[in-house]
Amino acid sequence: MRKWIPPVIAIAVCVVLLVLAIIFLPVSKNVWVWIAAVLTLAIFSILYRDNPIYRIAEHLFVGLALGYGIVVNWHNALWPIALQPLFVEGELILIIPVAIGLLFFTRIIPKASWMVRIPISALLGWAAGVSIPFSFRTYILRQMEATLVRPEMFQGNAWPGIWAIVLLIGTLATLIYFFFSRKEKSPLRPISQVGIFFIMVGFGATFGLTVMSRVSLLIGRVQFLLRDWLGIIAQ
Amino acid sequence: MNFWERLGKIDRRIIYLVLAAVVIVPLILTVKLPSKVRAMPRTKDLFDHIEQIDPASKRKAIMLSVDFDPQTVPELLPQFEAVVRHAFARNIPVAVLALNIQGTDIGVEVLTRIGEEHNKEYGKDYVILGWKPQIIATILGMGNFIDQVFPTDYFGTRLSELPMMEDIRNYDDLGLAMNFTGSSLYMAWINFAYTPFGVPVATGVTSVSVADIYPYLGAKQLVGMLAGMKAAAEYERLVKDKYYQDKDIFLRGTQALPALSASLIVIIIFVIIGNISYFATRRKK
Repeated sequence: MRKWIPPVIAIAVCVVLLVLAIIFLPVSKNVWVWIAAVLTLAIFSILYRDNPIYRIAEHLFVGLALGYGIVVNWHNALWPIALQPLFVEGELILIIPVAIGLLFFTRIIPKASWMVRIPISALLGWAAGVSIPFSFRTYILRQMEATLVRPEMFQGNAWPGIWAIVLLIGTLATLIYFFFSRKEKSPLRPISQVGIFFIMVGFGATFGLTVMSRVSLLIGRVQFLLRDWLGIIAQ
Repeated sequence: MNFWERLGKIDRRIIYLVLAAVVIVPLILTVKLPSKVRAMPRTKDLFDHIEQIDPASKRKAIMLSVDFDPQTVPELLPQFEAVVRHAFARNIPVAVLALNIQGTDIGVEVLTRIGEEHNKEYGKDYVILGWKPQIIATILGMGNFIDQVFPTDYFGTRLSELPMMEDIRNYDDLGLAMNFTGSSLYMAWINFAYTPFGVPVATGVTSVSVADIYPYLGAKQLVGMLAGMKAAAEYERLVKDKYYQDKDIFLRGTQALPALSASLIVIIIFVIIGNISYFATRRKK
């Protein structure tokens, strides 16, 4: 069978179905809903195979997201925070951060590209200085505290205490697997095997949740097509 | 090629078709699950926390950060709507901002629509702060003074002119800061809002992020979590059962739940068949 036949048949079937839908269903009269619906179907067409319709929709999405980002950035950040105070209100001190920011563009001039290190250094230095003290408390101290097994966990209902012990074993075994696992026989090897078990349980949970997430996204688009576009299901 | 080998090499497009049917049919037939949906403990924790916020106390308001874009709307929009409905039903003032550039308009649309449903007045019952760049500076800055980070709201009105913001100056005046995100932005809220300022923080996330969040829930750095579309449906039910029993409201997550359950059952069956096929053909080799 020639390559062009299946897509032509598919498009013809879609057109017929669409005409029937317009005649018999309470389809939306909003042109934007129609554009969104057609683009959704265009993106779904990748499930059959790569095709120009999919690529048009994909490029349109990337371009729109970028254009939208630039406009919002201009109105919410660049103009009110930097350019308006500097050029309209005369806050000359802003010349320094604006000049440092402009150095990012030296990257496109090969001879001056070394100057891009100045804004990157300033940004990294500031972010590291702000983040490190809080991160130490958030990601290390509080997390270590959360692995402690305390006697009050066993008072009344014993399950919190039992889960705390499981958590402690899992944390220690996983750390031992990553930091002390060696190829040759080591006394820590059995513990690192337990660590692998916990890691696999973690991977399994993450995989299951990823599937659930992707299916949810599909359902969301199908809900849009059936409710907002075709009006088949109730609002 | 025997039966199991053939089954292992089934065209992926057939699987897509089966999945599409399994998603579409429950939606069209409006399959209904039992009216009492059992909420997960983390969902219930969040509901209970918002229930405890007293609109007459100092920590009376909640701040909601729309940190997601249209790509994750199916999972996060129902969560966001359910929490906004809960807050409005309890007359809790709501301040909304966005740290994701495309989240601003989603926030405006939802607050305007649900605000109208509840006869809420802009500036008195809810405020839309808008979007600001630089996540760390924005979150840290609001811990000192919200109006220094957002001198004006989304519509260009000065915060000092909005009645609701008169006594909401920083995180000390919030009963909850919650973000909805399809990325790891919840970590920024824990690290730069909860850790330095002690404001209660919660998060609504896509299912894919859930496993990463449990350590923060275990350490009580988060007061609760909404995990994907399932938790959205649970929260919708909790809110409807308590505040909207006689009112007909559209529950986006609840409508999707039968399709979600059916499609996950089908995927589990496919995984089992795939594994049987794999082991059957491996033994033959």
